[in-house]
Amino acid sequence: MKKILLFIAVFVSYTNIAQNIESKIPNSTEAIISINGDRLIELVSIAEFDDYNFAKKMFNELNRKNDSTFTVSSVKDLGFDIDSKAFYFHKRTDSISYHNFMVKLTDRNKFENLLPKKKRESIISEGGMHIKASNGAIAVWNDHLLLFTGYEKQRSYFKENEERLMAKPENQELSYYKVKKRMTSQWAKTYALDIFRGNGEASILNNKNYRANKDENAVASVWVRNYGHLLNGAMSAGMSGMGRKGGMPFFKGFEPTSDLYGFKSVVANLYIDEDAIKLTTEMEVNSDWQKIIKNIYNSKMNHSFYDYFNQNEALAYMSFSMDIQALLEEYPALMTRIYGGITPKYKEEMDLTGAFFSLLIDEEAIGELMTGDVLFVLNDFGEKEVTYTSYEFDEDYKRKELTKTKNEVVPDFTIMIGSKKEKLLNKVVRLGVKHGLFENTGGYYKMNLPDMKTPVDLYAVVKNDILFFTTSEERISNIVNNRFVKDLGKHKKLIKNNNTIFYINGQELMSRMPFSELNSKARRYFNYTKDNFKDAYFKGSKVKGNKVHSEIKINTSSSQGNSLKAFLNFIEVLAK
Amino acid sequence: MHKKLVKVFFLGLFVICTSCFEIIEEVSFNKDGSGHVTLTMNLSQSKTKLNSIMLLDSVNNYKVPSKTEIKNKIAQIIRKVKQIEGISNVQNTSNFNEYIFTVSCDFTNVEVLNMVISSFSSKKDAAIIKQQQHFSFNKSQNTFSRNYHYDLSRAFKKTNLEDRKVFETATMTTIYRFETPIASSKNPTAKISGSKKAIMLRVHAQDLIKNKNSIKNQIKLQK
Repeated sequence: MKKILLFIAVFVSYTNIAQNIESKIPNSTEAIISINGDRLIELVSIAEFDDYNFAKKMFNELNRKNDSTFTVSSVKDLGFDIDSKAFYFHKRTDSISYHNFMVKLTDRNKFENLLPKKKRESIISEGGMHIKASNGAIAVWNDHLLLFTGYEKQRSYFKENEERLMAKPENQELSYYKVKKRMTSQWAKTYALDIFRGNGEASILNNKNYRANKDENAVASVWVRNYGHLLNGAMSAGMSGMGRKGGMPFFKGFEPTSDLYGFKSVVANLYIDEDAIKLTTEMEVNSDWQKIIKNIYNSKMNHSFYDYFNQNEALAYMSFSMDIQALLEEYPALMTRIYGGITPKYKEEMDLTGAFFSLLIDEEAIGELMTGDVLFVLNDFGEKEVTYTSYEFDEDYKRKELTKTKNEVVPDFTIMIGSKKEKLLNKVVRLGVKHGLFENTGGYYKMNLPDMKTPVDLYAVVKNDILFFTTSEERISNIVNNRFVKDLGKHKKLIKNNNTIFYINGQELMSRMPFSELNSKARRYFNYTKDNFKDAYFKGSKVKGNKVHSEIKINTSSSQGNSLKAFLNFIEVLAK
Repeated sequence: MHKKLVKVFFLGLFVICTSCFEIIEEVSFNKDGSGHVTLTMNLSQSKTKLNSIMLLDSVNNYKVPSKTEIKNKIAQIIRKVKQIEGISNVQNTSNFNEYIFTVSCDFTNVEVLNMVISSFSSKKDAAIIKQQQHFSFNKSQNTFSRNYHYDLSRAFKKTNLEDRKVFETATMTTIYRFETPIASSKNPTAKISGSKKAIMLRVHAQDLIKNKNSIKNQIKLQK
């Protein structure tokens, strides 16, 4: 019982400490990356990590630069508390931006030893804190915590306010360069000390969106308050600067708006388990854009596509489903919204161009010609005999041109594109036959496009509202004669429930790779991949509520112990 | 984005595969020291791969030039060659179906050939070629010399492993024809023709790079 109580006490105190650090992050922060050290150590122990060659190289590099007698031979020697959470967070104002890194310390001396002797000598101690300021950065630490703050002034702010700032009595004797340097370093010091002491503004833990979205089980998480705002902040710094300098007047008047791209908060979580690495992303869409995105991306793939998918003949595939008609209908408004926001000076021109665009095109007809359903399957690798020019020399070494042949490995693939205009497409094909671009081969067509230097033969046919292109004559014949054997397995659900899938059957793909054609380095990667990674996919879901979800998942074999080890061992193979 | 993914995925397959090319240098000498030279770059064996590469923007961090850029570069070289005193009848062919490129011209004496080679080289190399002649003819000893100053082994070590693969199966062939029969040659790999009026030397790029062999040669003609 005592043991259980002790365990609970330790656990609670531990989570309190972790929370204490996190609570120091101000609520005005725009983006946070948190790394769960304890979760990582569960997967790869410190001793195991230290044993990796890339880790040893990193330690050697640190020791080479280090001028103290102390040497680093383990991540423990960095003085950081590896077994806890570490945070990166970013804040941007109209005049300065901050990049912060915060981590618990286990051994202050070890951390200080990483600093060069000169820098160690200029450490200031005040109020139980140690401070080292340099150009563009400030580090604050005590025995338990380190906060590193990098900062950068906003050029546009200082350009606009030069006159006002230089008029201040305390700046009269200084150059503007020194004024800027002094102001930004003072701001950064106040900002960093407020965070370190915890006497600044409200904590990020008061933010409901942040609390609701972070997942303690994740190895690492990313949270962005407003993706559009973050992107615009970066763009406005560049573009308004350009406009002001007179170089690109096009961007004059650019003001950041938070809904330029329709995205609000973004959350990403990285999970690493025994047999999989998974990265999930969730983007919040604002109400204006929800309707547009739903109209475009929430279309369902034509069921006929499923009849031509066989999982046993798919080394990799990509499926994509969107409503082209909806896209074309929304396009003018989309463009006005995006580009009108970036270049407000030309908003009316954008509006008019959009209106003309709508007038000129028939959205419904184009939407029928290309529905927006696409399925692309890499079926296999095959061999094809190709010719090439070489020379032979007679006994007087006079050369004679001759054509030789060799076998090359070529991909065997199928592309399916949704179309309801079968009659129109068939007319195009008949015209192609007339001009010798297609060859009618009994129900399907062989393509002979003169400028298309593909290393493979290409066959095409239109059937069941699908335009097929494939490299295999046998497959196209099976499609035409209803002999194609479908086998969807788990992929039906994947394709049906998501608007985008990119899937790779790593093991099968690697086992059929033309190894003889690969260089030794590529062979090493592929061999490792074949033995340790099973399959992988990216899926982009349809819009649900006000969220767009996506997921990248790599399934690994258990041969290396867990997925993190499989991944780190892969880095070792790469570094060889 | 999707289009790009597909392109990268399939074309990437070709890019990681090996490639092959050959360079042929043919020089026919007249008795008075003038002659005709043809330089051929034949990439036909790698045409499938090149067709794929030409669709990409860059490969192994190198920018892939467009057809127009290649044509412009060749035109620039040809303009340079045409301006060399002692060079005439400059002709070139560019076959983008087979990826075979040739440049040929007449020259008045063997020293002028060095200027032709300089046209293909960087400014730094051109200056060295001026000092250390790649082609020379010693009239008193009746000896033709083929030389070069490049330290291929050193240059090769600077390239990364993936780029080195390109040279694994490449070859360089030199063929020299004379009106007077050949008495002897210093490079043991070189083969003298039955008529004794031509000599051919084929070297694998790998051997050139590893300094196992060389296209350097001294050819002594009969008096």
